[in-house]
Amino acid sequence: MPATLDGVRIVFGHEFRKQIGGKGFLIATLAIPVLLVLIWIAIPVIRGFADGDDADAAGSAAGTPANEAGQDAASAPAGIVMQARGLAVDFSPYPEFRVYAETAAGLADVKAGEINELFVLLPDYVANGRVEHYYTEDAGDGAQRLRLILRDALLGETQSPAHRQRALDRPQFQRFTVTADGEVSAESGLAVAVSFLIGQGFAIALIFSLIAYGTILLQTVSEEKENRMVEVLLTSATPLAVMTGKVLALGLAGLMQMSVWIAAVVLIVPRFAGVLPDMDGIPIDVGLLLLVLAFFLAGYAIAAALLAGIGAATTSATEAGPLSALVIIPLAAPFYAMPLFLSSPDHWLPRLLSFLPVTAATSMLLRLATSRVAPGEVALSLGLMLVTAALLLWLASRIFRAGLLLYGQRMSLRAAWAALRYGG
Amino acid sequence: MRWRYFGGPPTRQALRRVGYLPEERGLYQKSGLTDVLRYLGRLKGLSAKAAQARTDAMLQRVGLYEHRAKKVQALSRGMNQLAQFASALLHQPDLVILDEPFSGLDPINVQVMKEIIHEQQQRGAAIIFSSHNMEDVEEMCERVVLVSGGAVLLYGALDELKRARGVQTIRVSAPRQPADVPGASQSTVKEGRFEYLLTDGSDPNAVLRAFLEGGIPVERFEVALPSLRDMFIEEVSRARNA
Repeated sequence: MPATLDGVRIVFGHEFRKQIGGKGFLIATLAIPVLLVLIWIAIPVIRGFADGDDADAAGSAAGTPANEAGQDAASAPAGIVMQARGLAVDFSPYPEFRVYAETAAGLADVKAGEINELFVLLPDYVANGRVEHYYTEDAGDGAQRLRLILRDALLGETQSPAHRQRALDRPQFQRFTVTADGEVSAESGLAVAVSFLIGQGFAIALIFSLIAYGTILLQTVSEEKENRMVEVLLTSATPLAVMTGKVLALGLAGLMQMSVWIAAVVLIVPRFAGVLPDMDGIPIDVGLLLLVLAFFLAGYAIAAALLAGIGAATTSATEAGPLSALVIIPLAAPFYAMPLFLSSPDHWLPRLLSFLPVTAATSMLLRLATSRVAPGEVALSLGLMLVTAALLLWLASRIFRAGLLLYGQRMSLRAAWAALRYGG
Repeated sequence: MRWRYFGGPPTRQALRRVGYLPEERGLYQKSGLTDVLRYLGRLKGLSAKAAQARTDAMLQRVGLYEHRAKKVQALSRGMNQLAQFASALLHQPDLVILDEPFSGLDPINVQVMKEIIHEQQQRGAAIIFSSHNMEDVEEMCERVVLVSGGAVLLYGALDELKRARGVQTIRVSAPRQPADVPGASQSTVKEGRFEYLLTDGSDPNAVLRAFLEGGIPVERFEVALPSLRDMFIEEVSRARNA
């Protein structure tokens, strides 16, 4: 085996064991599964309290139409308003759905307790999947049922790509609660919180994780340089082997952690539908999760190479810390435009940030958590990131070697340039 | 400047024949002692089995075997130093570079380390020993190079360098000293003895004659070569004043 590969393998093995052997890794790895289980357990409890409060409130408002209807929730039909352009659905075979011509009429029946929920398929439904969902606390599983009916209709109505795509994608529900007093308000805080935690929350956890692993690498390199361990290492293996071994080891540790988190999401989140009806089943797309992993790894590789380069060019972890902000700020930059990512993930700015290697991981993770991204964009973004990561890793190893010769000194830009040109 | 290792360029294979103990001690503090040593041995080209065997052997040799299961951070400073010293020798290098190996060590551990260095010399390894303690250098080294401000001030076999100084030190044990000591440029009293630094070409026997002709009984008369410490002070002072 060539010496460099041998060096990579040995450094990788050591760093990987060191990383996963710590208590911190175990705690962080189990944090997401434990959190999800806690949410799963907590939702019925919280809903129980809420239902109890509502029941008390309903008791004082006894005789209101909504409450009277609530006593017969299971048998109450759902309402449907079809505004969707390019889609016609015959609801006559489905007596559990009552069709209304206008939203106002359907909403009046919700308030009157004739129906417990109303779905309004907005005009751009086929293109964007937007559906308004008005529901009372007694609503059943109408959303799940409606999705199946719409899927059949979309596949049967036409073979156009837009319809087929809509049949594959889940609807984008905009939810409104209708209280016993007939007040209409935006979706409940609990459902919003749970949805956020699972979608954007998970993406944010991934992003922080890739930054965290990059920072661990920075600390490792700084520490080795500070205590001169690097001199011992580099009499034994090439700078590229040492750097590559470290990056791969921390990357695999991160990947393992991500895999546990994703497995927890896949196994636990679908059970939320049973305890939180207004979430109407959360689809788990394994292909999407694999993409998320790929972007996590590519993003980590870029962050790690950049941060390792900073660690190699500075004299201590203390000095490297503030400089690491130069990498972390661009990595986290898409967060500043988060409202735009959530409302318009295909806007030119989120798309542009998806192709800049330093911001691409965060941007794509946020976009993938929010909407479907074109395969071409995914491939281009991922390709650019991987090429950049390989280049940065090579550059960082050169800085690493040059930094060794400048013990106790900060590397000047001229020295860094010389290191890149002549290999340190 | 071109470096040559073992008669050739400093290839990766050549560097693997080097064992290095840096001045700043820094094994991975949160790792287990055995894990770290085995890792460094593996990096130097030992097989997993050989690395484990050499780790056990070296830990026993430096007296840390019973601490092998501890994390490095649980070891004392002296133990840390011995552990890193052991790591530098794991792969039985042909060239051992030791940078201030005794700093901060207690006399017993210094003695252990000196014995091991001697064993390495006998095994045939070349030792490069860097130190500011001239007494240690005199005890351990055959050849010295004195570097100050990036310039080589002195280089050669220690004995030859001392003889080549030309200036000799005379130590005389006597109740008093004569009024005039011929050829002495400097006179001091150390530990109840008179010590004279002779100028170039002076005859040591003239000093003895001065004592005897002055009727001063001489208990002991010694012609000593200059110490490395004196040579260091002289050379570095000269370089700084130049």
